[in-house]
Amino acid sequence: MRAEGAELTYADVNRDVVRSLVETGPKYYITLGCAVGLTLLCFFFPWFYQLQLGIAAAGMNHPQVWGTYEAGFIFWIGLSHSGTLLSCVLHITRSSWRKAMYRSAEAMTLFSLMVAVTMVMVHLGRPWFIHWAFPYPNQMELWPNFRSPLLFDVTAIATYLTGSSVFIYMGSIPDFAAVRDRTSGWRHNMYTLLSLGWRGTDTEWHRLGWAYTLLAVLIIPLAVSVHSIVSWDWASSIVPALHQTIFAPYFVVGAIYSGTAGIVTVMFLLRKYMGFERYITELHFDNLGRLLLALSLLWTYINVLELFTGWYSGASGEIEALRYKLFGYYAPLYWEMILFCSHRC
Amino acid sequence: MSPPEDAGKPGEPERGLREKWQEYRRPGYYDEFDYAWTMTIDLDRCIGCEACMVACKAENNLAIVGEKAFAQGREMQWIRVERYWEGEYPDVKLRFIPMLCQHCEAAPCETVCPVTATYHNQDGLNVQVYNRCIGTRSCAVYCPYEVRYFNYNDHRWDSPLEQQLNPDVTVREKGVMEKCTFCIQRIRLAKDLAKDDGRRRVRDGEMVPACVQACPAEAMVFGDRKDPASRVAAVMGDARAYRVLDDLNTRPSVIYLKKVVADAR
Repeated sequence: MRAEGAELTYADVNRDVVRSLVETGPKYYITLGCAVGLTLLCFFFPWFYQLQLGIAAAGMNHPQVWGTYEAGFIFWIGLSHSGTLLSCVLHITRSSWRKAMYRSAEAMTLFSLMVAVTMVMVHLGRPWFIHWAFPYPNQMELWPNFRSPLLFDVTAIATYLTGSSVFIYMGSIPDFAAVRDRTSGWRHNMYTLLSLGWRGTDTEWHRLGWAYTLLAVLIIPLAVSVHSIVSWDWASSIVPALHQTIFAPYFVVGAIYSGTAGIVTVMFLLRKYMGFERYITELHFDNLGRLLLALSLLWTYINVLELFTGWYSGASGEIEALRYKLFGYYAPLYWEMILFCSHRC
Repeated sequence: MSPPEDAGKPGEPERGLREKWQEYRRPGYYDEFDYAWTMTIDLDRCIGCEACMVACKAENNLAIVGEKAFAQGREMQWIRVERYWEGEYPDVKLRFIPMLCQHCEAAPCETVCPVTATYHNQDGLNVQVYNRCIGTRSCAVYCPYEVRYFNYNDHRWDSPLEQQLNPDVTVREKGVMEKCTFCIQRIRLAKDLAKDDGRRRVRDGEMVPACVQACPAEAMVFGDRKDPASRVAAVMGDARAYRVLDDLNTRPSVIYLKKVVADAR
């Protein structure tokens, strides 16, 4: 940030940020319209159809009882993983280049987590009873099953969602205050409420800095544990090819990998369409590119290891599953993933 | 089991919550069951006639899903007869394995259900509570025997077939999992009758599930293995006895009998 950002003043930054919030053109409304249309067409209508008909609408059958929704869940949980984690790590290591991208990265975490939760809801056979998976006191003294990896999941994701929301909100308080001072009307009222009376004194900055660092330290292990726990949905079963101890690190590395790629994509779109070339610079893409390289190496290693442990077990089920994965009906998809995601020297 | 009496009767010391709770939960509730219902299936006697499948369908209100859904892999068969071909034509042998819920003592499906819709009851049965099921289908993923069946749709019985539905068994709605119950409605009835008869235990042979009743080759035996005099306890001791996927340590309650012959090759 230092190289290109030297000529930027705080006033410039404030002006640009407020501009991105209050100025709307036809491009904005077209994008919003497309998003709403897509949501109706690809989510709400099909979902109502599925509620009417049953899970059969999702094309699942026996024994493939988990299908697209679980894949979608993993995809979105993975995407959610890099944002807050990366932001925390960069905050603790005092990397100043983080400032241009951490807010969008954290927002990506929050929104992909919400999509992941939606996936779980859509996947249930009777989603109107989803609250039964939460441990709330009731007169029947019925509790969820605390041994279930799925319950660990609910707990982990709820914790991560809460932690990420608090983290992004806390970091945003001074920004809300800055926007509050430069807007009028309902926006001014909203940002007044959100900024919690922030005045920008030294004491306030000091306290915020401490609280922020504390949260960052707390969230790093949480982010690692959440995706480990998600992997236990699969790894703690006795299904061949899923019953592997490598799954927790595999899922975590895969999640950070895909999440970082997600951040790069979001950054590209922001830079290109919101005119943030002065803030999101090539330095950011370069740094994240290096991170992606390291993660892809790690991911490739774990992938090879996963195949190896399956083969080394010598169990007929494992070998069968391995053969199916490498040469079966869905093998082209597997090889496509290897081709595009692994690092090739 | 009687519910705990109200605390604070005159002359009685106040009882703590722990004591009250222990009356609900008898000590050893999870260690020892009242009964240990067990089924043995003699594969050397099985002729693969599939009468057990038909009997189960009729007894337990299993949905008839139709040709299309069957082809899509959404059939409902709490018990199914699997076929294994051995050898090459013309020297070929056909083997059958009736496969049903194994009522494992260490059932993987029970650990994974987030809402405890499937659990072990006091009879040592792996039961499925339809009303509690939210349809995560994780139990079906975790089951190594693939004997859990999910209601992908609501099912319809063409008139007058709806009149033959068994009134003792729930008709399941879409979005819940179901599986073999060892005909729990018959077990409950037998226990009730035994209780009316002066609080004795269910005698051997007093009740059998529909599949066992229908088996023309008498390949299946059902009973309580805690009763050493029962027929099933005797059959279990046979040298041919084995459990399917025993190495997974699920400890099934269904025991198969099969004479192992040396491979001709």
